[in-house]
Amino acid sequence: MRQLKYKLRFDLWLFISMFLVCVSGMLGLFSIIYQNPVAGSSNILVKQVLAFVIGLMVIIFYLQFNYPTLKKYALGFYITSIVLLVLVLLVGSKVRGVRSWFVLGLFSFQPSELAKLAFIMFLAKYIEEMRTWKSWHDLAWPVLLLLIPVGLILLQPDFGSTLVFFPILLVMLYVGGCRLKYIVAMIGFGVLISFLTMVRIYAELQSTAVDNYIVRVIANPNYMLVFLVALGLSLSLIYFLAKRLKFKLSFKQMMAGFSVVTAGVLGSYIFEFLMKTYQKKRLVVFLDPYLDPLGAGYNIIQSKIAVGSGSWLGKGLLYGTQSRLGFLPEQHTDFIFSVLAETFGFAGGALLLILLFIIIWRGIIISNQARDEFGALVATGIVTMFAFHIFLNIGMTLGIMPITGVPLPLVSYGGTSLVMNMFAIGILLNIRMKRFYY
Amino acid sequence: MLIQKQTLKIIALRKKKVVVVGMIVVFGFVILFLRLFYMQVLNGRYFRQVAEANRIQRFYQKAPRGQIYDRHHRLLAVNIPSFVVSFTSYSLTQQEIERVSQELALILNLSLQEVKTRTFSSLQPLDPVVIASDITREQALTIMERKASLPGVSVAIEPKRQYPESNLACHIIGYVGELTLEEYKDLRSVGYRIGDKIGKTGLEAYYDNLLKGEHGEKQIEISASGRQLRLLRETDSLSGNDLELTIDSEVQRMVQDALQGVNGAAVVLNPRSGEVIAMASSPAYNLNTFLRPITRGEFQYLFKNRGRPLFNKAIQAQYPPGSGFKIVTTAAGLQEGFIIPEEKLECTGEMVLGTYNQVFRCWKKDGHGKISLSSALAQSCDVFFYQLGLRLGVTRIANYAKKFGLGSLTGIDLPSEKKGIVPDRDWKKKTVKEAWYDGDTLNMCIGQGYLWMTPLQMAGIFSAVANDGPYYRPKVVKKIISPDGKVIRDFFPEEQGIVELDRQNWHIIKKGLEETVTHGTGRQSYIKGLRVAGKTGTAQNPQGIDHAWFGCLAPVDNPQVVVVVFVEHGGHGGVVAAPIARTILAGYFKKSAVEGQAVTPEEIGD
Repeated sequence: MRQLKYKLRFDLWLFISMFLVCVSGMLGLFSIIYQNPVAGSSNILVKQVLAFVIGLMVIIFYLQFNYPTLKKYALGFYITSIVLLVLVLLVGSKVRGVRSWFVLGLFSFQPSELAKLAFIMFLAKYIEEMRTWKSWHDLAWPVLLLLIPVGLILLQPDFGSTLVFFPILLVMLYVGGCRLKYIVAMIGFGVLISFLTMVRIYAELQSTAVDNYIVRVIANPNYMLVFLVALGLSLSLIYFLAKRLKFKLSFKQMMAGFSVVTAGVLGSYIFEFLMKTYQKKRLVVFLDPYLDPLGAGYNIIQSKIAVGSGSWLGKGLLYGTQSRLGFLPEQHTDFIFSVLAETFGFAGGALLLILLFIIIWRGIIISNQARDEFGALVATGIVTMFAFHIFLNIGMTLGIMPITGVPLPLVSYGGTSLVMNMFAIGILLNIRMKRFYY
Repeated sequence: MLIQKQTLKIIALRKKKVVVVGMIVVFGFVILFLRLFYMQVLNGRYFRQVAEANRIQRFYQKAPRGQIYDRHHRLLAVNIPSFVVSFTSYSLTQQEIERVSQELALILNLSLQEVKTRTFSSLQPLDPVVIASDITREQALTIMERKASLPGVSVAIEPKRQYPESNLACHIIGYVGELTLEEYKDLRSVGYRIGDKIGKTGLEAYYDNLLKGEHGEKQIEISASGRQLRLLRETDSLSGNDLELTIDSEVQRMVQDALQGVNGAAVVLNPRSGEVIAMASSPAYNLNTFLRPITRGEFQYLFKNRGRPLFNKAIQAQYPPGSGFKIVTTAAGLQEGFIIPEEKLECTGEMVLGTYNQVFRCWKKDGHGKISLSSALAQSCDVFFYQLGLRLGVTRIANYAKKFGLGSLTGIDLPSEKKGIVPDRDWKKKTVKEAWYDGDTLNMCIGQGYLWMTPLQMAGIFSAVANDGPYYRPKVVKKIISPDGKVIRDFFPEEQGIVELDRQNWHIIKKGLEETVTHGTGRQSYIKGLRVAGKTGTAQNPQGIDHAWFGCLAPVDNPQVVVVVFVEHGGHGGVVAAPIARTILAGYFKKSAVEGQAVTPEEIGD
């Protein structure tokens, strides 16, 4: 009887998709090793396979448990990850200028990967216990929960890894019943920051862009100040006019809107100040790779060539010229999708997209089938984490997203990331299996 | 119960929100999917081409240009090895490029700005850019010694044009220069590359596609770090074809010396074949000037000098021929039966024409008295030809001018030849917007007025006289020889035109022309022991000093050579041009050019 239940409740679609996606990643690594011995030693494939096996064991092990027990450990999990993030800054190893890894002999461990899952769990627990949202004060805790790991990761500094925390927070708050206006305000704040920053950096790099009127205003801090003052004045004018005409306008809402804009503008300056020159370039160079054809733009140009030249069926395993001749940078991590798309063409690339989509889609269904809010929230968080990584990474290789150095989950090389992502899949499987189990 | 209902409501709302998240995810995936389809399926062919080019680094080996030598195989244009520095920015960081630029600027003695505009110029990081060509041996050695600190920099030996005889036959040979951007746009499809040299004038331009040869190419597969993996394809460069000229450099040198100090041109050609033995335009210039950075003085000389050194006056100067044209009028008059050799006409020194009593003078104020055709030719009597011209009318004269090749290109194998003008009624109506008057006919029949021709066309007239009718297309290239010694093009005499006159008419013309040299206006060209038939000419120049012409053929009984001399603003043909022609003839036939009878402009006003 128990066996039958297992069969019924085990999400085979999700598991098989995850399995195939992981295999495709290993296939990519295999082709990289054989095509370009400079770019990757055979070590990376062995390590990846090992991590995959560990991941499978984690899944099987975890399926024996009941996922609500996570609630008990969520705080501990979160604190552990914070401690590890602090520790890695102190004793971690520096690889390419970033102190993100604990190196233990042959193996290395990246605590920021752990922090993502811990954040999801602890946030889910917090939201579930909240039950009702009274005011914006209730948002303070989640934001603080986000800022601690994000700040620590920024100190490494690993800008790309911090990005995923923001959509996770937004989506989980949204699903968790937070007032929509707070979500909108936060999205507006985020969009303003990134838009203003990107426009300013673009204007800095591309002198002809300054010809554009809007770009010129955004690029000049004095103009921005004038703009803010003008916005404030006109808003108060509208407010008083509306009052005279007996229109009801919420002073609070108007103030909130104004502060979001102001915060966005200020935030964009802080953001820009924090970033290094190469990071700035990477952020906007996808708009025009020839801004920096030998530097950041080079990656995009070469990745686009690799993907595009794959055509319908690809160049065949071990025949990818872009990857074989080493034109592609960071093949085994950031640009592994380009390798696969070049090798297997549209047929392979589309298949991989479909498999990834199945994982996401199963996650969404699992979230809706979850027996409690905690399960639903954790599932949503995991789905958001996957989807965001997928969009950012594949979008980057296709030249429609900035270069952020985000890996493709389950595919890119990286042991910690693979084990943690498989663990996340394990949680999803568990949420589904235990959905009638009270 | 109520609580349960509320809870159910909350759960339903949460599920809806999750579906909204799902929608956003679907939207994102659709975008990725479409983008992938767009890149791989719709643009796959384009990207595949880019990828093909991406892995290949191309190196070009410049082909040596074909050599140019004279009819006795004396070299006029050769190639010498020169050092060229190029730079490949591939796999270097911005700072490294900066540092390399600084060091190169120091070694090459160039400004840093100059070097940097080149080092940072290539968008295709694999394409080498030329930093400087023709650097000294010491500079080349320094760069090679410091190879370790100059990544991406390479020194290659490339053939460079040189003209060992500097200004000899400069207008014929022409010079080469770097391909301009406009030229590159037009010519890239036929294998020219930026940085290539291309013929700009003369034979270098006219036969550029035969002279240039083909670049050698090395295609090397490389890795991202710029490491060369393997040689994919290698083709050797193919030298250009050599040109063997009809020019005799000894004669050419002599002609150029004879023209020293005047602005003008001279043509020496073989009337039997049209082969140009010498063709000079004065002042000349040093062809090598264009192969190195030009100095201020050189620039002044080449572009500001009133003598216009770059202009090949032999084929580009168009002036009225003066009395040389009387040969054409004579031929027309005799052949068309408007005059017979025995007929004598009266020259009183002037002719009054028309209702306005316009006076047309002979160059000799007192007149020549009663004079026959051959004497009129010898003495260049204008009034005689006025009368003959009126009898003929403009149409017949123009027809004969065209028969002698005037008004059209000779077709010599040199660029930018001018064709001159043969005026007639239609031409005047179209161009001057005026009717043709008899006065125009009078001007025309003695070679003045609207009539324009080049010195080379004048040589055509004398060739026709020398051959009793046919004359041959002038040419300066005798053979084109491929690098492996095969003659790929051999030039044979090609009839340019024929003037059909009865034999005795040619005889009368030649007699008159010989008399010109022995007793007439061309006495200054007389050489003892050589029968020369010539004609002086003075092109009236209302703005200043007249232009001097002299054309001749020799020896009369078996013409071997036609010589035409033209001196811009020289004055009277018999005084200025004839002596130069004598020097040339004497040099050609190795005779001593003893001073003939001294003459003054008053004696030979023509």
